[in-house]
Amino acid sequence: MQEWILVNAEGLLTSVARAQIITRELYNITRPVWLQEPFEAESNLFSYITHPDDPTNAALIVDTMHIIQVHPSCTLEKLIAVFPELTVDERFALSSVIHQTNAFPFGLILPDSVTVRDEQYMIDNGWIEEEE
Amino acid sequence: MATFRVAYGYARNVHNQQSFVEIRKVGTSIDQSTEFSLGPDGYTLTTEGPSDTHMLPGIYTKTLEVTTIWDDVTKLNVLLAQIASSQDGTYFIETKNSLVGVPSFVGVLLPESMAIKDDATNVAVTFRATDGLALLKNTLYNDDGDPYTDHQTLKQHIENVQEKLLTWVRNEEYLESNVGNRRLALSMNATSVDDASYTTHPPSRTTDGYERMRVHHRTFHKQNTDGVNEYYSAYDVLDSICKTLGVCAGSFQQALWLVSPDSIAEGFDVRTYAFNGTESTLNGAVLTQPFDGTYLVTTSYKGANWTRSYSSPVGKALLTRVTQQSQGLIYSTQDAPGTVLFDTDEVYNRSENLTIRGRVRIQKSGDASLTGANRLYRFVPTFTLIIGTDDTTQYYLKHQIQRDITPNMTAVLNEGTQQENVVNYFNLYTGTTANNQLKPYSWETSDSDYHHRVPMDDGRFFALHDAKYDIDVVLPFEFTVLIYGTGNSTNQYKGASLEPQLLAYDFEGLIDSNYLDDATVTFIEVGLYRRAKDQLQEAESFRYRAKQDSGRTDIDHGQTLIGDRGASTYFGGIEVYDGTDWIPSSGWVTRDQATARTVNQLAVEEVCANHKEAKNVQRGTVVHSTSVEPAVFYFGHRWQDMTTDEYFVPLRHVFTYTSQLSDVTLFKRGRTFSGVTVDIDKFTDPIDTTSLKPSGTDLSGSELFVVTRTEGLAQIYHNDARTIAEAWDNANVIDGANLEFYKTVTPDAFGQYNAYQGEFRGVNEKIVRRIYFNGRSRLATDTDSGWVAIHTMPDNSTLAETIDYLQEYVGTDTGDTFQYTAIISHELVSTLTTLLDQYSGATAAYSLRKVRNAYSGNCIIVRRDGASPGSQAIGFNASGELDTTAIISFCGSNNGFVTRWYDQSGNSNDLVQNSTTAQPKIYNGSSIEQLNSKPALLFDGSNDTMAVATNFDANENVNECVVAWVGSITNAGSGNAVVSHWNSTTSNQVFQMQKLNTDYMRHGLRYNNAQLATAASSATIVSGNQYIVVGTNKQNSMTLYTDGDSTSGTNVQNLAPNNATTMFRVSGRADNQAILHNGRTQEVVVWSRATPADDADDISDAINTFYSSY
Repeated sequence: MQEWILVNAEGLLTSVARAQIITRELYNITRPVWLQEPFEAESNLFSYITHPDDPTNAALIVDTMHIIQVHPSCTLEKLIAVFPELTVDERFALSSVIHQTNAFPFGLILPDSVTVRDEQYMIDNGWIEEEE
Repeated sequence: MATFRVAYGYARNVHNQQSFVEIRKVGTSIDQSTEFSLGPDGYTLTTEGPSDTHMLPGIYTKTLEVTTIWDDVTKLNVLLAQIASSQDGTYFIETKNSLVGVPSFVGVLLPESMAIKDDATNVAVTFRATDGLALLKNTLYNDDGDPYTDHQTLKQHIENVQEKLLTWVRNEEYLESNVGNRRLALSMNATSVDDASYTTHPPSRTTDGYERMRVHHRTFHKQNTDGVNEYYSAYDVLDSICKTLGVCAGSFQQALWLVSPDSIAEGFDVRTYAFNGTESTLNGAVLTQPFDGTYLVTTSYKGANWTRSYSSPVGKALLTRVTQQSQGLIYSTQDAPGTVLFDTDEVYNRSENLTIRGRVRIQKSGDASLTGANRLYRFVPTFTLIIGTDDTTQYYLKHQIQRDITPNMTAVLNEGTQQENVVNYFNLYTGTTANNQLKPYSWETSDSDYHHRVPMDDGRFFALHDAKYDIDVVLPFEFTVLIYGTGNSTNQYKGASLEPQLLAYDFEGLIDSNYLDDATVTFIEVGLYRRAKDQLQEAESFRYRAKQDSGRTDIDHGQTLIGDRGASTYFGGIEVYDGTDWIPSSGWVTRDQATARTVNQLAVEEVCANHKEAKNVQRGTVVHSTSVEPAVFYFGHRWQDMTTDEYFVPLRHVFTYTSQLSDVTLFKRGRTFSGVTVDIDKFTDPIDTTSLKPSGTDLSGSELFVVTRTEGLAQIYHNDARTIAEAWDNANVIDGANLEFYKTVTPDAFGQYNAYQGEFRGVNEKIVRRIYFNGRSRLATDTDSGWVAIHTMPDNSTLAETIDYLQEYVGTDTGDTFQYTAIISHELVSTLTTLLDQYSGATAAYSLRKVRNAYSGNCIIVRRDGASPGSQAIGFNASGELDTTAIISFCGSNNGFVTRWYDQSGNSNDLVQNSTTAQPKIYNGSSIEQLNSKPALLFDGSNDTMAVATNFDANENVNECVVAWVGSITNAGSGNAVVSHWNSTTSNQVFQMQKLNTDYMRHGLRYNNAQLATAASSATIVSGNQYIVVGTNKQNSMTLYTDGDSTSGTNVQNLAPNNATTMFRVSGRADNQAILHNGRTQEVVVWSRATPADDADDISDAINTFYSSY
């Protein structure tokens, strides 16, 4: 089942740029950059779409049940950096979850501030059109 | 041990990025953060290898220099006073992107290197810090003052060294809170440094080798004869490991890395060990710093002062294995009786004299039994000597001789019978005296004072007395034995062991061990020496030298403590784990050669192999662009010249943060010039280049050189030809063809370049060779004008035939003024009859079979999941179908997903999916995904989809658009878009093929008047069945063929179909990925034709001849 997360712009980062960083850093949890091969330079975890009326607005197409494998040497600085709204406790909790498990479902690390949207919401808000 | 921040500052670079520099101190004091400013450079980080001209194993060190500017001089002065009086390792400097981030560099502040510059308003202080590797020279290798014990694996030794780094305090603090982070990374090189000579590698060059090799602690520690421990430095230990295994050691973040220098440019696999003890699987690790001659947003580029030079081939490499002073073949100090000392490598010859020599100290308190007939009479050191320890299958080598050093012993002590047996079987006689007796020592005792005396050669009496019953005597011993026997067929024996013991005899000549109950016996030194010309042959340091016939540069590695000889003595011996036991070994290197090489010998040989060709050394400044995070802190990364696609090993680089500049020295080995392998050996015989010159020319010899290629074709080149060949090597002569032969003739010389492609052709392939001619010489690129395609040879003509044709064409017009350039191209052309050869004009073509003969690329790129992920391009087999064998071989038991589906139309509109969760599956871990017995991509209907990265116009020729799709759909009752060339605005909507939620197939087309024409199948489709669906649109006409069954469209306009540069997607609507495809797709082809051909039904039938869907 398709699910979406709307990505807001933060600071100097546009919505699209944040979406790109988030999905890329989620991928890096499993495959830290230092051990990636050249073909992984553009690899990421989730794809995203942009709003038809505002291409600067991005929504990640996610699967909250997707299991993310954790590499023991992964670093989380960049991922955490794109969530400036997180409190220190939330950052610590995020780090703890990732560093203390070998794998976790993506939904487990979603901050409280994030809402997962369904297809109807995306249709109602003009992201996608209802199809036959 | 905790640290806390003392002061910090930050710098912004030219790209407005930020980096912090922090001074920390050991302790748990409250944060005394003081902010300072950084000087104009921000900071400078220097990484230096063992050599700045050659790629050598050894230790890379990093030093940081940072100038800080302080407003608060009072606080600064307090800090400086504290630093000046501190011990090394008390203060650290580290860099990181944020104050709470991972340090990218941790260094020990060097108080002696501080430079303070006073100013009227503030004070500038330049600090220097080191990653601590160089400081290991000042650190003795021991266990908190005590010797380490027994054997330890090389990995354990490395970890011991790491914990002695002064930076370890800070790194350990970080790792203790991030226990899953790596502390150690060990690389292996999957490829040989010289495939021609070294086909396999010893365990030392694998990460397993670090754990499968172990070295005794006495390799790095010894006791002098006074019993005082003497240690080598931790630096010497790490350096020895590097030199012995041929690797480089360096720091990156909190980890210590060991990487083979020759593998850096090749890429390598690495195993990492986390602080909490977990270890990773062996993963491919390629750390690449790209740079280019031109500025690109995505890379760094060369500065203006870039220089390129060549270092000469190395003629000789030398490595010295340090032995401990005055040692014999076997030698040890401060051993207890019963300690077995041995050597496994030395070869002993029949009729050779060996001397056992040393000293033993006996300390014993008074003993009441030292009276009467049973009083203590004699101490006798005895030795069990075994020669030929490695030859366990030959009985006559297993006998041992047991001698004591006193010839005047009682019968029991003489052990005459046993001695005869020994003589009979081992024939090892004693020998330096005329009567074949052991060298005499005698003991003098008396009941009155128990005075023990040993007469020495110089007439003095040695040994101390007793004052009543206490004994503290040092007894020297020395005797020589002769290896004398029938021996084996070679009269040589390998390996020896020596076990010293001490016996005590009573006055009646009886052995009584009770005398030793309270005794402390220490063999201060024991040695087994060769003896020649009545002189002891003490062991020297061993030097390993590899050389080659060419080359003029010598490389001296210096010294290593880890040795080969005496592998299981305490002098640098190595043991390897054979899966069951640890076994002594020094010749365990497995290679094709019949004679295994010892590990140190291997090290120097590989250096020679690495440097047997001239090397490309480049120096200059690299400017880092804004989007690149310079990998300057990484150890083990390679540098890639994006222009030439060459990889380099960094020998040294100096990175300046603010300006984002790196001054680098890069090294490229193994290849010279443009991929032409120069066999230096050919230069060993002087070449009379004069005789090779074209007649009537005045070329100097230096302008000519000889190149041999692997095909063995020795050829003469003019230097210009070499340059031209460089430029032509990667030239795309003609679509799908390779440059095979290049020849240029000038008025004064000629040159040619041969890249012979061979005469091999696969099933359904033919060789096509073409000749191009230009009436000018020395053309450097294929963009020069004036080329004429003079001839296409008959199919499958050989290169020799083609050259003959060229020569015939050129004729005899080779006078001094004649000049030309000619090239021959080589192309493998498929002879298959394919879809696009029947129906041309496709703007995009994706299929799991070959659909265009001229297409020479791959079909898909498959990503393998699992513990060892990877990616591989997959092509076609000889029948033009997907090479499923390669997929199965590559994926094994893992799943295979498609990251790229190549466009075979020639327009390079590849379908791509970088998101791992959205990639369609081609292999499920045991079998290829199939539909109707043909390979198919499985789209899960949840998020799987592929799109073209750059919008394009698939209906560029407007008048007729044909879309063909082959696949199945499995979710009845839901909408599924299978091919979509669509966007959110009607002007950018072209076509979309989909299944409606009523389960009818429908092809939709938008006109530029915003009207939508649609054609739906006459019947619903069956879930999971294969269908060939072809939709065609042209002015006033629209038809859909579903497995050949045609239906006409509705709302068809008397207009040409829409065309637009817009999104293209397979599975889901192109713009928003709605109504994703749940099912399989095997083929998608789009034609756009200016002249309608009205052949969509024929296209459907042609497709069906392969898929047999209807």
